[in-house]
Amino acid sequence: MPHCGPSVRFPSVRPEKLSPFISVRFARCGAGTPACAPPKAAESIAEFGMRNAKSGGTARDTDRVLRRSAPRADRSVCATLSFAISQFSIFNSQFGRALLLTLALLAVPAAAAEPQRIVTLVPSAAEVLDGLGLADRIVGVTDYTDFPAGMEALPKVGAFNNLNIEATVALRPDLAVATSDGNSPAVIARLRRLGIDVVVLDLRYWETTQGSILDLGKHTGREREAKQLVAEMNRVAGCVSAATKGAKRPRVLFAFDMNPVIAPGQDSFTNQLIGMAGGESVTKGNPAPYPRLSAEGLIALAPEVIVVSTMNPAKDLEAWKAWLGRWPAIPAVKQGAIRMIDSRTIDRPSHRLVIGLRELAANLHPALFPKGVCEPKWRSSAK
Amino acid sequence: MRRFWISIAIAAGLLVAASVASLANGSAPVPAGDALRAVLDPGSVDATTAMIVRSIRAPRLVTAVVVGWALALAGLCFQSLLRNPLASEYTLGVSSGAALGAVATVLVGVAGALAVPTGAFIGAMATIAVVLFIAHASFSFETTSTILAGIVFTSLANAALSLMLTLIAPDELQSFFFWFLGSFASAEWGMVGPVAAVVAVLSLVLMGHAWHMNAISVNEELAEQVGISVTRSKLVLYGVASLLTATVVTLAGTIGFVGLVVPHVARLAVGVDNRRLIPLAAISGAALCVISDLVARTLLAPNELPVGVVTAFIGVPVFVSLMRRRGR
Repeated sequence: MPHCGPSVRFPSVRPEKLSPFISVRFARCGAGTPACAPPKAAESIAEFGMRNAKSGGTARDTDRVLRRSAPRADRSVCATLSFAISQFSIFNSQFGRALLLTLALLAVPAAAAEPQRIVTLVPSAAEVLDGLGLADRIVGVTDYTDFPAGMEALPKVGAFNNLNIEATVALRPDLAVATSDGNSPAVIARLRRLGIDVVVLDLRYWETTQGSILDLGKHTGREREAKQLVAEMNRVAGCVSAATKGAKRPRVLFAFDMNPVIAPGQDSFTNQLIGMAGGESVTKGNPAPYPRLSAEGLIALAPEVIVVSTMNPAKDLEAWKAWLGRWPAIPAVKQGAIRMIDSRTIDRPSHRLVIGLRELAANLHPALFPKGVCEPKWRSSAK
Repeated sequence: MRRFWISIAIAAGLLVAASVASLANGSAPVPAGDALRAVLDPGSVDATTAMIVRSIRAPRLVTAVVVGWALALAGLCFQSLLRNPLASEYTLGVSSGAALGAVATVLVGVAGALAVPTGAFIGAMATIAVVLFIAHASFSFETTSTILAGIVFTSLANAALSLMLTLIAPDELQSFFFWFLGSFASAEWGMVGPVAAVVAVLSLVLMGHAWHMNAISVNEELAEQVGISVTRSKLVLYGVASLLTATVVTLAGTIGFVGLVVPHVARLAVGVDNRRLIPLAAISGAALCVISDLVARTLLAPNELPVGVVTAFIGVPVFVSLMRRRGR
């Protein structure tokens, strides 16, 4: 009886849900929540529960009926109902205890229903959840999820673009967090059909990232934390903007890869960040999402700073210097302005992108950003 | 006849065993007993186990059965029609043509439930027409030139597919990539049901034409003399084989070597009579696909391999050993 018994989600059941519980719970079950059982079935289940409780039936019987009559009912509904039904039996036989219990429950502050078991479908989602203080609720992650600390040890549900549905379902999540540009819409729709609550973050731009963080905060009862994250993002961005005001904006080539050079295109997040960091991306006008540049194209763009996103700065700096050394005509090469930036801070959109933003600004304007200026402050909830 | 029934029993036994193993194994740890109980009496196991087995593994298993069944029959059909042991929907480029048609439909943005299957069918039919035309234009029809035409067209179709995939946004490309190499991961009841019905009807049509296939695979003039309308039969059979390929491609992408290898193994067991070959090849093809999918899902769990990779790794050694046998 591990998932439908009265004890399971007990602490997260709000007191006000208990008395008019069925109507409150099922008022939320409309067209938008296909996994919910129709109210009619719910009433009959509740009636059965009462009869069952009176005639001395066990919780297991109730649970069976719950599953049979509402096989696709969502688990929280199931738990709430079981709980409510068990309340009836106590009410009938042991009035005093029930009263005490109700009083005790009323004393619990009314917190929004927080997810208890979260699966992240992209690495960024784990970062955002950590920012909201929910890292310890994560029970499964996709490959390459390395932040916050401890994520590597969690069960894997495949890669973000090759998700294992079965492994995801097996973790019994009450929330899955995906992104609109990383996860396949078909996979998200399928998870929803299987009764899993999926929040889809839009992490394509600065503004949508902030909006998604606030939405996720609202969804998980962490609105205050979400607002703090957004405020901190704005603080750092404002600080960087103030520091670079009036400074010359260098022409920047941002490179994800060397052979061929892959750069951010027209309306990418990276180009937005370069602008915010006080630079001009040389590939800003390129219509392709991720343009590939030939050596000739690179020379023609004449960047003044080249910023390379890398996981291995020491090795890649040598490789880039050796490769670019053949074209001293490029201003960045002449001035030795070839810089490495940690790809984990700049390529993975979440609130932590401001770390990358600050690092990027420091790479474009080294003199303006001594240590300690515009440093973001984040606390991690991971153990 | 006894040999036929023994072969059928072996293939069916293999299919049943592989199916049970498929339901009981996967990246989620579900005890074999619970998996079977989830099928027979879903109330007796917990809700998550029931969902994994009934909504994820079972539709996937049925998809693998339908796909293997259809691929083996399509391969058998092409081999009989062209009197060519190397013919199959994969080597003739029909799979690639169907994939091209399907991707083109998605890219152009034609809406409707039947849009993609129709695009795949048009792609498949157009491919077989082009391949036969190229082969016919050369002097030795029905021999190696048909296969050469198929290989040439496959390269062309794959190049066109790559071109289309580079035109699609990168995130969509990823899902197409897995589809391109074949996968049952997206299998759901909604899709499997209609496709299974179509494949069942096509199988019956094929069974009804088994004698025609026999006659045509021996000699077309002879077939004409015994009263078979060869042109009509060939048209029906090409249509059936293309439709089988198109349905499979829509359901699971391009999966190679099933249609090539399975008919040969079946022929080795029961001879060249299509009336016996059709049921045996269908069941064996289903068994091969179920086994391949089981390997694809469990070998590197929780990551999945494209099932086309596994069928190639199983199919190629089998094919090479068959060639060696024949050579001796």
